[in-house]
Amino acid sequence: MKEKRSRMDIIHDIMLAIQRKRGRIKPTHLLYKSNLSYQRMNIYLEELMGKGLVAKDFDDNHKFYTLTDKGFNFLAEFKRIKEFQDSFGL
Amino acid sequence: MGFIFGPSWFYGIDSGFSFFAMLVTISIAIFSLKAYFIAKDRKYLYFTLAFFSISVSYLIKAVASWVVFKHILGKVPNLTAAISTVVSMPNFYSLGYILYVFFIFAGFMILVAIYLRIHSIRTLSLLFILMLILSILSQSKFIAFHVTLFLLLFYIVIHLFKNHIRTKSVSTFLVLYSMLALMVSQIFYFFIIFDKIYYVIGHVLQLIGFLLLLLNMILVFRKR
Repeated sequence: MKEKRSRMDIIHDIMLAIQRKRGRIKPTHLLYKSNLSYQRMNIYLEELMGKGLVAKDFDDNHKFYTLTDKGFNFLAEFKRIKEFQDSFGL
Repeated sequence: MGFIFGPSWFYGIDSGFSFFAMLVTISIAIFSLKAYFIAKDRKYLYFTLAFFSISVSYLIKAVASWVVFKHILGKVPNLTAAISTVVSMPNFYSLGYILYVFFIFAGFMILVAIYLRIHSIRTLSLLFILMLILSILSQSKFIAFHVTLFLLLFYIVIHLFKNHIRTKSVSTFLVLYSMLALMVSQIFYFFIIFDKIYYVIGHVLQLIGFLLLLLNMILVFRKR
């Protein structure tokens, strides 16, 4: 059985999902990619937007979530932490 | 205590090895602390404490070895006289040994607690005190110390082996073999009484272990 994702894993999955869509993703796509409920996804997105890592964007009345420059740098740091965590079996 | 059990040509070199080990472990501690501030996960904080403790132990070992060799050997004609001088300084010798043992056991004990998911502080403190008593008060404190450290590293290696089997990455391979090298090095210290070269082999194996850890940290920093 797959282990429960940590908070860090979930944030990493959300930001990675946005990055893989060239830094811009629709909420429904993000909901599918992040494997979260709509409510939980919004809680995490509010936190990420509060920290300036993710921003909300509108295009032809369609809502998008985008990664900010700070978000891209943070994701790079996250990847290093994930590599560190995996290498030491934490 | 293995501060002065090596051949004379190795004096000072072992201090260098210990200093290198200190630098590698402190870099791991610093990165883990950074991870804690970002991820807000306590396991990184405990990991920081573990490697910080190990780093302090190697700093003590490096300094104590350096002091013994540079300040005492420079003033006395040979190793026998040096050993007599050192053991006549019971406070310095004993304090250095006790502090080294305390910090290195604390560090590896925390790692074992993280990997075996031991949450009970009472259990950990009991195990820690027993290890200290064994390594400081026993008749064969030197052997007791290395056997205990070997056992701690054994449990760490088992966890890292399972981790490597699960993930099969270069990083997990490096960390596994680094801890394996540290574990195997403890065995060579048992044979110092037969030949001083085993002191050198033990130190070289430890150096290899820390080089592999350093290589892993380089790979982590380069990850984008």
